[in-house]
Amino acid sequence: MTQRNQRGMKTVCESSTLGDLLERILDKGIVISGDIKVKLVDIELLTIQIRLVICSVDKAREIGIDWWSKDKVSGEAGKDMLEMERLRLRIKKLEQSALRKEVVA
Amino acid sequence: MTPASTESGAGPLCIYLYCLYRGEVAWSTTGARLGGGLIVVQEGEVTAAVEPVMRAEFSDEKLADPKGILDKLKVHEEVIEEAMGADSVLPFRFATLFSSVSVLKSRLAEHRAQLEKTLDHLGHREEWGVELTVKPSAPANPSGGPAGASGPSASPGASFLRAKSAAWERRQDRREEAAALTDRVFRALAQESADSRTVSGGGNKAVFLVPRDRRQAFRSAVHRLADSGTFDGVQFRVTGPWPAYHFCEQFPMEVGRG
Repeated sequence: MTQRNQRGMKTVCESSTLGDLLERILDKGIVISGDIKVKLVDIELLTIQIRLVICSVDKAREIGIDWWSKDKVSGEAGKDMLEMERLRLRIKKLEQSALRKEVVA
Repeated sequence: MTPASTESGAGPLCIYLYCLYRGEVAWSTTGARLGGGLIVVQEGEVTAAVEPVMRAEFSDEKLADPKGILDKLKVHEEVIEEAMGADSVLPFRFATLFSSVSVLKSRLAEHRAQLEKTLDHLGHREEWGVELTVKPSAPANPSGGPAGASGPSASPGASFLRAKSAAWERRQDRREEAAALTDRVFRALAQESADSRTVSGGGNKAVFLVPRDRRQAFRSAVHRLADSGTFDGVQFRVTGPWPAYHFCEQFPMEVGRG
């Protein structure tokens, strides 16, 4: 649902993104760790990797992109090539940064 | 058969904990979600929604695979969403695993008082997120610089530096104005909710714990603020309703997640 002001500009947008979902279920919620240790990679890296998976239209069809309910999450399929390239570059930087941290540690 | 691991309760299976809840949930199916099928474990008036899963499905490699993890995240979220029909729901973080139901029960017993307090706080409430984008207003003096900076006596270098400094100051002013605007919006919306907090990363995002029967009032408040004329140039993005993930944070962080 979009509200526009007198000049017709979009002011209120009700939408949910993959980022909204991931920042919640990967990074929030109750943390009482089980006795089984689990390792999750950097959340920003994972978010971008998942976005790339979904960006690829063929992949999206394969995994059934419409699993988010329509009133909750907007689809991100069909992003253009430039956006995908930007995401790949960002992943590369994050992975290099993670590698550097491992070497130093 | 996989060799015995050094962790407690060695074996290929473990227990995945989705959430705790009070009240009733009409589960769409008790069939397989992430593993062998949903099981509810009762502890007094608190119910745990759990599932036996293959431990190997949550190895480091599996959790680093974006396609694989996406499938699991989907299931986790669907289960929590189904549980939202209950009186109060405590979502657990993705991939909370126990070697057995008895270990799970004893962990929950350790934290019982705090879990019940949180269940009380979240009862009949849901989370809404609001993200604000303040559009930069056009600078009053685009050429920048104090009077005389571009006079014949000013060197090009000095003029350049003065212009840069003036531009920086204008950006600072705009940042402060934006922060003041977002602060006003969030304070107003906090009045419409039982609890609220800003989310890290820039100060333009906040989450609100809203009683379910006040959902429409909250959404109307957002639209009213946007319409008021006071916040022209501010874009509002509203997301929700969510299980109250951000309001579980009063729990002490535990060691155990890499």
